[in-house]
Order: sequence, then structure tokens, then C-alpha cells
Amino acid sequence: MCFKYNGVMRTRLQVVARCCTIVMLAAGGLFADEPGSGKNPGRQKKQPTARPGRVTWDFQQDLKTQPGSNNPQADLLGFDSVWHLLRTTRSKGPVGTRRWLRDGRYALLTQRGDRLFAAPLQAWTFKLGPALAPFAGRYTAPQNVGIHFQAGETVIAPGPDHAIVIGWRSPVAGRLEISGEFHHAQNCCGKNSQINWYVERGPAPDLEHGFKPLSLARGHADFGTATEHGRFRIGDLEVVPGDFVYFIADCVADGTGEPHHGDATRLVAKLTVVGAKVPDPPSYEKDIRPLLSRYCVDCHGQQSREARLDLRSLAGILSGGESGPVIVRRKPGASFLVQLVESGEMPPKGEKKLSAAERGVIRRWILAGAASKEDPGDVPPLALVSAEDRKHWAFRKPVRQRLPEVTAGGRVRSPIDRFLLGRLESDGLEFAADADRATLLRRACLDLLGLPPSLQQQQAFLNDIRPGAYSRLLDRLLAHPQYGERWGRHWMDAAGYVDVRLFDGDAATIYLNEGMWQYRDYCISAHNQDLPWDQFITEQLAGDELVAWDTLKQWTPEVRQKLIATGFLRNIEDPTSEAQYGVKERYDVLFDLMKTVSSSLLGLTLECARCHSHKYDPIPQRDFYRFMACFEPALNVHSWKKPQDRWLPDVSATERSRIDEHNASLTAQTRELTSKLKAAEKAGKQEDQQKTIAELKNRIQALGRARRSYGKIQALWDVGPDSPSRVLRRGQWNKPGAPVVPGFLEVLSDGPAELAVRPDHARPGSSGRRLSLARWLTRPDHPLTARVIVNRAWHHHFGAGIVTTPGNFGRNGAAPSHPKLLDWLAVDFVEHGWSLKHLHRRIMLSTAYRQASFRAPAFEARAVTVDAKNRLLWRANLKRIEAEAVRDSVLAVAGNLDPHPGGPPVMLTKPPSGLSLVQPGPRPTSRNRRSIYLLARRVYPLKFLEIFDSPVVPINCTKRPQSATVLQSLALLNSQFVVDQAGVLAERVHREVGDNRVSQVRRAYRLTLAREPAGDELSACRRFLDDQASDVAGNNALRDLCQMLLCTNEFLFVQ
Amino acid sequence: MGKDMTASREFPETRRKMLAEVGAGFGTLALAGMFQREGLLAADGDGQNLLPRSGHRPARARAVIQLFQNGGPSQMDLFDDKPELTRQHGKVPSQEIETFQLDNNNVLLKSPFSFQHHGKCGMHLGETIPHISAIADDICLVRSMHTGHNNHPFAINMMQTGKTFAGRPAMGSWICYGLGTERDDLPGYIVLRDPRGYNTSGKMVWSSGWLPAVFQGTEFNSGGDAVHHLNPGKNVTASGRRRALELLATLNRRHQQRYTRETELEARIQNYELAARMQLAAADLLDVKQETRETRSRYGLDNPTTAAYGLRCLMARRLVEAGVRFVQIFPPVKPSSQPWDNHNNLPADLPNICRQTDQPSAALVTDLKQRGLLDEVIVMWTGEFGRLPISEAKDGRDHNRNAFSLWMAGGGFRAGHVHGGTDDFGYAAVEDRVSVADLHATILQQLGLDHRRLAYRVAGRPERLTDPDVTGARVVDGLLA
Repeated sequence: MCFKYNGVMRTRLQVVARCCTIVMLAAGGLFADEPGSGKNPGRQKKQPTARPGRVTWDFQQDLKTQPGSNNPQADLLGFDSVWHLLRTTRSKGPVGTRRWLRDGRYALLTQRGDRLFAAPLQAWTFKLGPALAPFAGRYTAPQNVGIHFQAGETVIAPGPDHAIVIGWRSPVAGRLEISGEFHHAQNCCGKNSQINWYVERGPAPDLEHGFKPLSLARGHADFGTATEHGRFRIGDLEVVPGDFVYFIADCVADGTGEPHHGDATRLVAKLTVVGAKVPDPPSYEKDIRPLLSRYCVDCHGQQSREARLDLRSLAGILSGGESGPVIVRRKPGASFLVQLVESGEMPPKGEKKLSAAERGVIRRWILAGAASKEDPGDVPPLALVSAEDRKHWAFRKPVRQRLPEVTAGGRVRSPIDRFLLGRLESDGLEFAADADRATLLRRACLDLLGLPPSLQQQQAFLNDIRPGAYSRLLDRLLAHPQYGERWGRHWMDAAGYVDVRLFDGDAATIYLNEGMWQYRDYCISAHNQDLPWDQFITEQLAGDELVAWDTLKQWTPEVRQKLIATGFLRNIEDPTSEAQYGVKERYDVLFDLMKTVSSSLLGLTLECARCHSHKYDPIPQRDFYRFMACFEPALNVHSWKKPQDRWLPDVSATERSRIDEHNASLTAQTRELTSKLKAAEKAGKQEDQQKTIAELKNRIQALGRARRSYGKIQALWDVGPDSPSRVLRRGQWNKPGAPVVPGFLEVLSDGPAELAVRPDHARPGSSGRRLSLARWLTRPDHPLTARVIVNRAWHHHFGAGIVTTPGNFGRNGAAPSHPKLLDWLAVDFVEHGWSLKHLHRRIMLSTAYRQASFRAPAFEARAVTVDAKNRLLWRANLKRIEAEAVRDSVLAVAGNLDPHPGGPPVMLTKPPSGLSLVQPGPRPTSRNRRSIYLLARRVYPLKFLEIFDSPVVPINCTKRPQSATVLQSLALLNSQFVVDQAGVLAERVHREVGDNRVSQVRRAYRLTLAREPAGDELSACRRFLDDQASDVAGNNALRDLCQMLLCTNEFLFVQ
Repeated sequence: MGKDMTASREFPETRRKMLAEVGAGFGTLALAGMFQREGLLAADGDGQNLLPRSGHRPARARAVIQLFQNGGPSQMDLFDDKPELTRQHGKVPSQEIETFQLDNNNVLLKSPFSFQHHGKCGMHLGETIPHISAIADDICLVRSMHTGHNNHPFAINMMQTGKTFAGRPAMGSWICYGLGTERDDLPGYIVLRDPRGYNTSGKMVWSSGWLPAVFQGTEFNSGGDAVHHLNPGKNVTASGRRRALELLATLNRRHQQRYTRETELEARIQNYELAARMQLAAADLLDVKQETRETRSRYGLDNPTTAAYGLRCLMARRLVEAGVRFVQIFPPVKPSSQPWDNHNNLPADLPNICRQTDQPSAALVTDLKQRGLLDEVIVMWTGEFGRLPISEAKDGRDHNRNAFSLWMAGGGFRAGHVHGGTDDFGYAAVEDRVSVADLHATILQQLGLDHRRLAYRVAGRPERLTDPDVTGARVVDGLLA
């Protein structure tokens, strides 16, 4: 906590230093007692000395607008800054004559613009449009817009229906003098309007309800008058810390013409406080304690400690409650207590509220450091997670478990078998016999490659009768490039991979997120290379923080890869490219990101703690916002980058400018040649002209060919300055609560929650928070990370996870069927370098995996009474193959699969009927590429895949639904895709074995089901071919046979 | 209860046989006991099916047709005459108005349309809906609806799923989860949309969310193939297909012998039979030529303006008549995917969408009534929210979540009745306010379902359509006969 308080102090000191263009006549020591000078403000007893001082604030120099500066308002009315820039959002009256309303809502100016039409300026605005209005800022070069602006002069523009408000909050007490002028004479846009200006004083602004200040001066400038100086000089006002002065401009048209854009108005102002001093603060004993006892302690005291908050003592106040500390020393605006009291939320509805004066007392007390005679100093915050909370199995570190003893030792091939068999035997059960080799081969191929075994694979395995053939098979499969296409896709479900931007709610429109496919290819290749899982996670969360990509002159492939990896964080739906969306939707992006990250990597439903502490898991709301703060420097709601701007060229900045220059020179040359060409064409048709023309055309084409280009990487990186992160009360963006430091979950930390502020992880321009998060997640003994991935792999191999809710390991998720096995696997996985391929081998070499999927009826009847769902694995599970595997298998057995890897997605049609198809691609076989390469849409994937449960991903998917709908049967029977591929398969069979029907049936079985038909199957199929041939034309009998084999349950299932 | 159900589920040889055994049809008690033990409450992950079952209490209705009107139909121009609004036309409203768009004028805008009293009940309705006006005595008009958001996708979520955010099951899914369906050759929840495109939020509107996928809406196309892939290609003969399906059944049955307890294998085998049956049933059901000329003309099929929407309404009647549980009809997607969203040009655009939908909507109610079906079928005409009394742009209205109107017909809803009211300007519901959750609770009750007991366990929490603990949903007796 000490750190935090110091941080606060520094900030405050900087504010003071920044804002005072000091006239330090007698002010030496005015702020001598300000925080930062004493080492422990909590123990600060001495009050500031009240020596006369004179402090001046000058708009010209003090209003921060340059790049890199925080909007002074960015603390969301935390009052930690002197300046506050707002606009109203409510106005009334017909368009031409509307006026802004004082009691309307207010909004912050949150965007920084640097250009108004062509004029360079630095300004804060609420939305970046061509006209940039309304805004407040300064021109950075001399401008003549009717008035002559010097560089650096402050300009405000209210826009057609807004008021712009610049608030100044006094940090001191004293006598205030204000002088300055509004200067408006612009006559370049619009007609029939006037600028009104106001100087007012009053209470703090309230975003929700507006405010009612007192007028100090006002005036207006009619449009078109030559010059109008709205001079004001106000003297000798008494101010206390926290008092506000407002400079306001609005704009009204008289309704006779078009309303105009906001007029640029020059604002020159100086505020001087004479005799500035920080007054004696209220005393805790005399002022604060009685006040709190009167209003608060009935509910937050001895009798009842609602929200685990006790306000009877300063210690209780400082340690806070469920939402964290309720005050931040010297930061009344950031103090939860002040926010609740000033918003009227507390005392609750029906109870007596504090008066304005009483609220002011609290504010001033906190501002002065919240001192007290009984000051306990720094109080550790309330522990929000108890020892009991930490006992849930998933929150404890996995430990290597001892292998159980078993009776049927002969069936043990792997430690895995001991755990499973031990449990089975205790229930009087046992493993099934091994599956036959053909079944095992098909199972292994579908599991690892997502495709049934080819004839060559069948031959290679079935002919390999030496010991170790199966292990060699696994080696071959794991080394196959199609492995990454299978397992990369599994991870892409958890990541919620999509190729599109926005919500994708319109079937007929595709907003392509260009270059996103590089992330898909990254996932595939990471799996093929067996990139250690800890590194895989780290690159995806913080690849940009691992390399100094922004300063490197040349990018190696590794640099590029690390940036591409952050595409993981770019699968989130982000609607903010559309103008009407603002801060709320920016937070929504963060919330969705939290859901994806927590469900895919932590197996937790962290999102439940967004509005209130988690109902089931020990995750206080504070921890949600701590965790979220790790992402806020990149997804910075106060310095937002729109999704269409979150891409990087896939070359370094140096290379990019080289390419741009190269292309620019080509463009210039082309332009020159084109004008020559035009001249030549004009000149006539003589032969020599024709020759010239042809030559020019050739040269222009050559220039076109010489152009160089670069691709796009959809990435995430830190943008803009850090903004303070806060709890959002009830999860609402406009209800900021207590500030939080970036950190992790307390329940997963050894002591109090660890913080993500690690200087060694930061580098210039990057906070290092995500890297800290990744390092924390990939600690060898992290309770969840390894367990979650190991369980997911188990889920894909066995059809059900050891925990059947792969996205929820919390108290409300399913309990693990074999907790010790899960631990053993997690430890083994980490010890073997987080290698997924090692894990596959571990699992697939076990007897458990190699069992047959069926039992004798008598055994089964007994087993289901003990374990109806086969959680104990007394046989292998039947698994329906996933959507992609269905489509890819159909193509593969027809001999039609185009194995071409990588690259931009193969596009889909988007007919109004919704029956999307694969579009023809650059090559004739592009349509037959693996499904992972088809355009991944959020809501409208390829219809055929959707029918087979490919996920719709408003967010992400940790476990696919598995439905058996009639639409699947219809698609297999009647879709053009299956009918066509069955025809190709029939041609293949015919080509390979000729007209003999027995051979045809046998070959068709080999290709589709990877086995020989049994006698009765053979005869049924032969009979079918005979009968069908008498009825249907041409080769269609064979086609029908092939299609029915593709329709069989056996084809659709791994057994 | 889901666990009970899964454990005790034994597949009969065919579903048809099972239906015969238990006596299929409205009001059967098939499997009812299990549902009534603890209320309907299944755990996530447990499969559910579409076998028909009765709810918690005697049902008043067995099916619902929802006529969804995307965009937010303007209550003060259709259903809720406001003389004071007319009187104060052009004036600045005395109360603060919550707006959505930025180009509102904050002056009151009177309705450009006249209102008349209709029917024996004397319901006061606007001139743009003459056909609905003609069935005033059959409908229950609710003027005091309010909802949770004033933008489309969120308010649509609210009306369809009970909450403003995406990802929860649609009402139709909940109803099928609660009651199953009566037909073994048709899905229980069928969606009919404009074949030219999707309305706002597209198919998310009929998603089953975390309920099993078997309860999601199935799109039937009103034109071309009724269902994707319903019909075999041209060169497939009936006998060839039958023979192929017999072979398939043989192979699948053989395969199944090893896996007698895998219900999904059985379901898939039966699905091929259902596919074949569906092909016949759907073709038959969608063949509106079987209807008399008079009926077709009543739905406006002979008029290009009304034909497309009329066809969807007529198909809906045929579907519920055949035993489908929930049919959802969407409005045209032209000129926009939310045709009632009259931000400007309301005096022309509102009559335009009325012309396309008014006659068929009314025809549906009349037709159901004449066939004696209106008693057991609920017709629900609703948008996602209402519109503001002030003017936007030149002559339009912005979104309003504080008041909107809708009407219900049949299924025990009080005919010829007007429920609730708004303030003098139609801005906010003030009298007998009805929330979306209240409406859902009332509809469920009419179907024999108790909204507090129709629940599904998600991440440990029993989730409900109405979430009564949070919304305070209650059955609105005033809407009922």
C-alpha cells in the first residue's frame, strides 16, 4: 500500500508543479507540506503553514493538449487534476435554434485530434470527425479564421449543438482573481448564429445531472460582427480547495439558415489566487467521526458490516470493504466514499442524505491527507480471500501424485493407466480389450489430423508388424503438417478466432479483418513446431512486449511472429469503428476480452465479478478490475484506437518508409509517363507515335510490376499514456469507483494479490503489464494454466474432459473425475517443457486410450449402474467428429482435398437464403481446401459447418455443442457438396478397381471407413448395387453407395 | 430434473411408435410426471428432446405465432391516440425526453394520422391499420409496455430472450424446452423470414443460447426449398432414394448393435426417417395452393404488396394447425432490415409498412378464429420498443423504451380489451405498466408453464426466461379473459 500512496503523492505533486506557472513571490514553502516532501503522509501530523502566496494559472501555458498528455479529464472526475474538459450532450429546440441545457448530461472530451480541416492544432474533442467540433485546445501554427490566432493560443469551439466547458478546480484557498477574454469573430462557416460565453463558479460537475453554477460574467458575439472582445475581470472571490470556476461557450443559431459548425473562439484567461494557502483541514475527531456515526455506521459498523465495511475507526475506513479501500488519501475524487456520497447512492434511498457542506467537509479532510490523532498509519487492505476460499481443488497448486497400485498390472502401459485402473478396480470394473488395429489407426488419424487414414497410411501401419509400430505411427502423425491444422483449430475455438471485424450480424455483409489470417497460420505453425505452451501463451498475451519491434530497423521472422501472436487479443467484437459508439462500448471490448482470456487460459468465469464480487468463486470485484488493468494500456478507453487502426504493417517502420518511398517514386514516374502517353495519344496515329505509345505503355506496366507492398498484422500493443484503472461500480462504465493497481487474482496468489507492475517487464512505450500477466500464468506451479490445457487435450482425445466443463474450473464447474490424474498430467506436462506433443504421446500410448469402444452386453449392463456416463473410462467413448472433420473427411476420401496450407481465407458466398457456399478461389481446387482455411465468420460460418455445430462465437467457445439435428441428415443426403463429392468418390473407386462390384464395395469401405466390409455388409452392398443399377442411370448406383457410406454413423464417429 | 430424464430415457423403436403408445397430441401427460417433480430444471450438458409433454398446470393454449415487427412501431401513430400531443404540437415538451439519436428537435410532433373507434369494444385505432381495426373485438391491446433499452439489438434481445444482452435462449426455445412438440416430422420452433434477407440481429434472435440446440428455431423458407437441403437433386428417383435409405438403415442398425445405449446413434437413424417424412410434410404444409382461393385472397396472396408477408402468415397457420409449437414471422427486410424504424419520413413510410403487413396479420387472426384454432393458439404482434412524441429530423420519431404498444389475440387473452395507458404524450407507460418479463410470464402461463419453475441450470445458477428474482416478473391477470 505504501507504494500506492507514494504514487498518489507523486502524481499530486506533479499536478501542482505542472499547473503553476508560479508567481512564487511569497510562495516559497506554500506546498512545503504537500505530499512527497514527507515520507509517510499517513503519519503526517503537521498542518500546512498558512503563509501568504500568490499562484497563477494561465490557459496559454497550463492547459495540456499536446500528444502524450492525458486529457486532464481522464481521471473521470476524480478531481486529481486542475483542468476538466466537458461538453453537454443534451440540447433542445429545433435544429436551427437549439440551445444546450444546463441540467443535461455531460460527457468528457476523450479523443485527441491534431487537425481541423487543414489547420494544425492540438485539441480534445469527443469524436473525431472532419470538423472536429466541439473541441477545446490550441492551434499549433498561426491561423487566420477571421481572427488571427498565434501559435499556442487557446481555442474552444462549441459546435452546432453543444456547450464546451473548461472547468478549473482550485487546489488552494485564498482570494481569486480572474481575467481574460473570449474573442470571437470568425466568419467562415455557417450563418445567423452567435456565440455565448459564460464565466461561472460553482460545485463540482456531475456527469449525470449537470450543475447549477453562479454567473460571474457573460456575453455574446453575434455572428459576422467584425470583432468582439468579451473581456472579463473578476476580482476578490473567496475560494477553498475544490471550488470550481467554469469557462463555457455555446452557440445558438437564429433558425433562419443552416446551423453552422462550431466557431473557433479564442479564450485567454488567467486565474490568480492571492494569499494562497491550504487551509486547516477538518479534524477526524471533531468533524469526520461524528458525521460518519450519524449517517453511516448503522449499516457499516458494529451491528452490521454491510459490504464488509466498518466505518467506526480510521483503521476501518482505510482498510475498506468488499470493493476495496473507501478513501484514497489526498484524492477525494478517487475516493469511493466521496463518490458514493456525492452521487447520492449513499446513504441509500429513503435515508437522510449529507448536506453539501457536510460533503465538502469529507472532501477537504481527504484532500488534506485524512489525518487523525489515532492515525494507524498504513493499514493493509481487508483480506478479501480467506484460507477457506483457497481450499477449492483448482486453486491449489498441482502436485506430483503417487501412482496408485493396481491389480491388473498387465494392462498398465502408462502411469495414466494406474490412475484410471485404480479407480475402475475400486468399483469392480476394468478396461476393455484393446481396439483392433484398424480402429486404432482411424482413431489416431482423426484425433491428430482430423482426417481418416489414407490408403497409404493404412498400408504403412497395417503392414508394420514389428514391435513399436503404433509408437512409430504416432511419430509420423505428430510430424505431419496436418496435425497443426487439426489442433490449431481446437485452440482457435478457445481464442474465438474470426476473420471479420464487428459483430457480423448481417449475413450479407462481410467486414474482413485484413491480415487476421496470419494469426490462424501462427496457431497452426506453433502447434506443428510444438512451441512450448508457456511460450505460446506468452507470445499471444504479450508478444509485442517481448521485442522492441517499434525501434528495430529490421524485423526478423521471430519479431513478426511475436506481433502476429497478439492477434489472440484481437478476436474480440469491437463495434467502436462506428461513430455513435463511445466509452461504454470500449469497456465492452475489455469485458469480452476478460471473458475470452479467463475461460481459455484460466478456466474461470471471471466475468461474473464484473458487477459484483463473484457469487461462487472467491473473486472479489476488485480482482476483476486488477486483472483487466493489465490490458488497459493497450485497450485504453481514454486513448482509444479504433479497430481498423489496430494493425501494423508486417515490416518495420524503416522498411515501411523505404517501401513507401519506393512506391511514391514509382507513382511519380508513372504520372509523368501517363501524361506523356496522353500527349502521344492525342498527337495522332502515325506509326512512330504508335511505337512510342506501345513503349510508354510497357514502361508504365513495368513500373506497376515494380511496386512493392507489405501485409497487415492485426496486433495489440500499448497505446497512449497510462490512465488510472478503477473498479466500475456495478460494472457500469460511467460509475468509476476505487482505483486499482494492475494485478492478478488473490485466490491464486500466495499472500495478498500480486501486482503486475514489474519494471523489468516494461520497456519504453510498453507498460509490461501483459508480460507480467503472462509470466504469472506460465509459472510452473500455477494452479490453473497447465491443468486447463491438459484437460482440454484430454477432452479432445477422450470425448470428455477430466473436468467436463473445460471453461469453468471454479466451484460451480464440474468436479474432476480423476483429480490426482489431472495433477499428475499437469506436472508431467510442465516438466516436459510444456510440450503438447509429449502430452499426446503420453495419452495415446496408454491402454485407456487404446481400448475398444464397446463392451459385452452383460458387462455394460453392470457398468452403467455404476458409471452411466463412462466417466471412469471402462471403454473408449464414441465421438462424433467435428464440423471441419466431417467436411475435410468427405473431401479426403473422395481424393479431392487440396492440402495447400496457409494464406488469406477462402471466401464464402453470402446469399440472402443463408445457404452459404465456398467461393471459387484463385486455383481450381481452392474450394476443396481444409475447412480451417475458410473464412471464419462470427455468426455466419459456412452453412455446412454450422449445421454440424461449428461454433457461433459472439465471444469464444471452450466446448462445442454436439447436436444431432435433422438438418445434418438433410445436408448429408441432399447438399450439393456431399452429392458431388460422393460422385467424385465413386469415380475414384471405379478408376482404381474397375467394374467388379465386390472390389468396388471393398475399396469404398477401405476409403471411407478404413476397414474391410464384413460378409453381410458386402452382400447387402452388392445387392444394393445390383438393384440400384437397374433403376438409376449411369454410375449413379456406385455414387449412391458411396454417399450412403458417407451418411453412416460409423463415418461420422470415431470409435 | 434433467438428470432424471436422461437416466430414464429409453428410446422406443421409433418415435412414432412411442407417440402412439402415449397418445400424442395436445394435453397428453406424456412424461409429465418427471417435469412436475421439481419444476423443469435441467443441468447444462444434459440432452433434452422434443417429445411432447405437458407443463406445470392446465394449459389454455398450445402454440404461439409471434408476428415480430422489427424497428419499433410508433404507438402514437397506430394504437395510442394522444389529443394532448396534437394540441401541443410544435411546443417544447415539459418533461425531459430520453433520446437515442443526435438529431432530435425536442418539440412535440402530432400524429399525421386520424383515429377512429372500432368494433363493439370501441377500440381507438389509427387509420393506417384498417384490417387490424376490423378485428378490434378479437385482440387484446396493451398500451403500457416498457422495455430495458432504446437501441434495437438490445431491445430485440429483451423481447426475444428476456435480457438486453446477447446469448440467452429465445422465448420459442424455452417454450419447446418446456412443452416439446406434437409433430414427429417437423421441428418445434419454426422461423419464417423474408427470403430476401435477415432482419436485425439475424439468426441470433432464434438461437437456443445455452439450451440444447434441439430447441433452436429452424428456418423454413417461404419460397424455394422450405428447408435447406430438403429436396434431393433432380436425378434422384424416389425408388432409388428409398433403396439407398434402406441400405443406410441396414448398415447403421448393424453398427448400432455394439452401441445399444448410445441414444445419439438412434437419433441419427431416426433423423434420416424424419428427413424423408419432413420432405413430404413440409412440401404438403407449404403447398398453399391447397387453400381455397378465398383464403388465399384474404391473406393478400393475390396482391403483390401483401403477398410475401401474407404467405408467411398463411404458412404459420398451417404449421400451428399441424402441431408446431412456436412460429415466428419476421417483417420485410426492405427498405431496411427494421422497416418500422421511422426516424424520418414517417407520414409516408409508416403507411407503407402497414400496407404490407396489416391485412395478412388480421387475416391470420380471423382465419384461426373461423377454424376454431384461436382458442388454443396465441397470436402476438409486437416490436422491440416504441417511439418518441418529439420530432426527429424533419418528420420522424426516435426510439422509446419507456412506452410501446402491442397486441395479443387468442389463447385466453382478453378479446376487445385495452390494457394500461401512457402519459398525455405517449412518452411513458404510466397506468398498469407491463414489463417484457411480465408479458413472458403471462404467455408461459397460458401455455401451462409456470415461469418461476421453467428453469435450466447454467454454471450452477437456475436460469429462467423471466428471471423473476431480478425482474420481479408476474403474470398480468388483467390481460386474460
